[in-house]
Amino acid sequence: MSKLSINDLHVSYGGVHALRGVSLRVEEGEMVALIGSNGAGKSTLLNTLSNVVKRKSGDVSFEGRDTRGMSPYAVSRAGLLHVPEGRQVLSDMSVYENLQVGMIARGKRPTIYSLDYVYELFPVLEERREQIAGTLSGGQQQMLAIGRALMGGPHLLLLDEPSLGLSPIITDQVFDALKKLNAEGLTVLLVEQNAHRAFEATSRAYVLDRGKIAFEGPSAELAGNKAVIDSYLGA
Amino acid sequence: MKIRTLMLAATCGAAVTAAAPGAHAEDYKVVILQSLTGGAAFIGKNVAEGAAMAAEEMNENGYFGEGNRMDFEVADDATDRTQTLSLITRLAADPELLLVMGPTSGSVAMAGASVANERELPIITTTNTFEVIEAGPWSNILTQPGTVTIPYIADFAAQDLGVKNCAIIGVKDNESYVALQRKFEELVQEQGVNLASVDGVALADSDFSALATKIATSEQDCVFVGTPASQGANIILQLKQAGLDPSTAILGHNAFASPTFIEKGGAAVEDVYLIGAWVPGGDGEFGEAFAANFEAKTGIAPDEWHANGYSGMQVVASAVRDAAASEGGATRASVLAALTAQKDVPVVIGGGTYSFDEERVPHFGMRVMQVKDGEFTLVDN
Amino acid sequence: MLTQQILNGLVSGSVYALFSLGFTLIFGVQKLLNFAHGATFMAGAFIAYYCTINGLPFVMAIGFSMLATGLIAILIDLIAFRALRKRGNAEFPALVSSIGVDLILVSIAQQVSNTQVLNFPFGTFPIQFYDVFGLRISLLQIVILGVVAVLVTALIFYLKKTTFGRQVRAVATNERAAALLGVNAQSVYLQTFFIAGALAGLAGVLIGLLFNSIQFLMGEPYMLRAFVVVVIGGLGSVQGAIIASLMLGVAQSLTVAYLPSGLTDAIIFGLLFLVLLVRPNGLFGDINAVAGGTRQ
Repeated sequence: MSKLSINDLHVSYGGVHALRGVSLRVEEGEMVALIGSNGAGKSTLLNTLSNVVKRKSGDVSFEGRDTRGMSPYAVSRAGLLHVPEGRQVLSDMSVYENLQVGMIARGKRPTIYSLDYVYELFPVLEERREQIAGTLSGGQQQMLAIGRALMGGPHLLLLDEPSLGLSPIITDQVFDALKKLNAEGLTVLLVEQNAHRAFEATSRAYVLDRGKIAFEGPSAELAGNKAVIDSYLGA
Repeated sequence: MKIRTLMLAATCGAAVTAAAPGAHAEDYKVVILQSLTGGAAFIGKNVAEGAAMAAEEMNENGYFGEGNRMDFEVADDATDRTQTLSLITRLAADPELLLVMGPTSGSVAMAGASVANERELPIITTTNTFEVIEAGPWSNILTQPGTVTIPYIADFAAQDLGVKNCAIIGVKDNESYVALQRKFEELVQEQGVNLASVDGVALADSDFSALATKIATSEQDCVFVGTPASQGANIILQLKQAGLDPSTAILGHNAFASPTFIEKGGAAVEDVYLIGAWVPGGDGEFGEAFAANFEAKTGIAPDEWHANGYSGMQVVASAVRDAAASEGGATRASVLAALTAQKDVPVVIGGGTYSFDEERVPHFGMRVMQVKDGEFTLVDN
Repeated sequence: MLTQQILNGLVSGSVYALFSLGFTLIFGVQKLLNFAHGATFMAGAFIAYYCTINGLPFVMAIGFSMLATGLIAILIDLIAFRALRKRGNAEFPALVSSIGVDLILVSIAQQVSNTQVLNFPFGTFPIQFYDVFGLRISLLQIVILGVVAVLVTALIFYLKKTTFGRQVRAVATNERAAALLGVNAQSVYLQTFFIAGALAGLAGVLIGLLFNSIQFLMGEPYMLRAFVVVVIGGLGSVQGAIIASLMLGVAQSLTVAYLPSGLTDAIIFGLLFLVLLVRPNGLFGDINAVAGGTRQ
């Protein structure tokens, strides 16, 4: 049984047929990349997985369970944690409080990542635990958003553009953390515009183009595919 | 709606059968149109009851002469302008109808006045506003305007109590209350009374703590509270709680002459002076008889509005009888002429007699009362 | 007289705070103006009144009334807001539908009370006065100040320190992000409406008792004041609402005491304009708001 399997997913969003029959799967312990240009439908796909956006047709199965009709909060309580684009930290609350809110998704499920683990992974969060989240830098907010999702006991982590707006050094830190998490067993679906980084960090990848999967395969292979290079890795 | 609005008074049936028909018996048709339902029902329903009782008594006593009687109906204006307009228009089409006693108040009374003048039907509304008189010659008022009533309490304060320095509390968001308050201020100032302070409250207010503290910590020998009964009781309660000197005279106008005032104010409104047209239990032989008969008949003590209705019907009946005796007999025109010419009709309210002046303004006086042991008692002055 | 007037103002202001907290909480969480809040307040006074005259002990009447107004507020959410929220862009339609609910509740109260002004029977609460350093303070005023202080502290603790409070603030700050973190916004809405309704109901009972007057329109002047409080305090800010309520109470007392009467409202609203000119987000609009000030 795949951790996540998507079959022939169609989504219309704001009158646009944003996803046109996407099929995709993520296996237990994998880190899979989903790349594509702006407007390809990457964020729509993640939003559909967490049921923020309603699907038109198609099946989504998370740990063998059909997620159709579940509220977004119920999806995250089931262990499918989505770190949205733009981090979306709770800006009026402190770092510590953001992490506390993160625990709500875990509910009665056993702890996977403790607060100490998150502080060890991102020491800056412990240093700034009392700081109001809205006043953190972009990189710190991204770390907080990931840390907060970890507090929710994720079985599958969806990440939407974690490198967006971050300096290369900070991006390195974030990706190092993701690689460490994956090495320790966390299943991740990573959406990235920065295809180089995505291919480098993941084992398999999908390329989304205008709502359809254009390419799929091992990341190293796709990184060497001329068509992919021309379309997505150019310049 | 129509069935409810033009209902025959249940009591009326008895009066019809009791009247012995004479050879040339005359029926004088009058409709008592009051707010039996809706917002003004607390006035209109009682006025109608008092008026109906008076008409029955007079029919029984042969007031209109051998075999003649007043043929009256009670109808409901429902405190509704539109309903009143169509009802009076329909009533006016009945050539037998001589007069309408009503409608009760406010814009409903004004609506009645406009139709009455258009159709040349005499009406006497329960209200006391000059606007009804100004609307035309056919529309009249039953109760005394503030200009007539306020002097009774203002003169009492200045002359009988001899107050020197008065704090005024009025209602700032209701024009008729403002007019009464201004009249009081003007009259006491003319008699050398100083106004210590003048404050206005809104009708919806209930927090008078700041105002009460301000007055309680100021110097004055009189507080005039010109508000509706329940709000006035509440203001006085808060004044007392704020520590107002117990020797300060507290005065109000006729809005306080309601059981609500004592009910809401309790011990705090003890000793408050007020004016009213009706002294509970009746004042004088006629009034006492009315109070006793009314209570025997209905089981409740009559209030100011019952007394006003009862008195109003005395005036209407007297006018009808005068018109019937005139050349040409009782017509709408002769009833109107007789009505506004009424002088010194015996009534159970005020000083005991009711007259219209040249401006068609009613005068029957007011009695100064004081709350004693939780009851309105007449002040000897 | 000055200190006495300040005391009067603080007592009135503390009840404004109780009333305004629920209003600002709902605004903070939902970004909706609940016009039916004044009617909920009025319903609190009515329910406690009818319970009391039917023989229920006063303390139980208050408890029952708070429970009932909490449930009324939940009903308001379900009837007037939920369907509109689902369709999005609810601010204006929700305003109108909450005015509708307000009118319904007010009309019912008008029918029930026969348009009369009601008051708790004499002796519902002992009338007792104390002289403290020349101040005249009643037992009721002391109890009100105490009850409001305890409730406000409890509410702030609840919002700041409990898991549920964090969920409320999370929804207030960013409802979508909160949902992705497993926060059930619907349940947060129901709970905030319940709290807001119960606080408004209690405020209604206290005002009805303190000023001997319960009537169907009693919510209106308090709605107006709640707007002032919420705007001056900073939209959605709980601390701002408390401080603004006390300021408003004292300002009203002092204007009645020292300035020409009839100008009270003009002065209060003049001050409101001034505050808004100098600080468009209110006095506390830019500090960290407990219930969340800005939605991302």
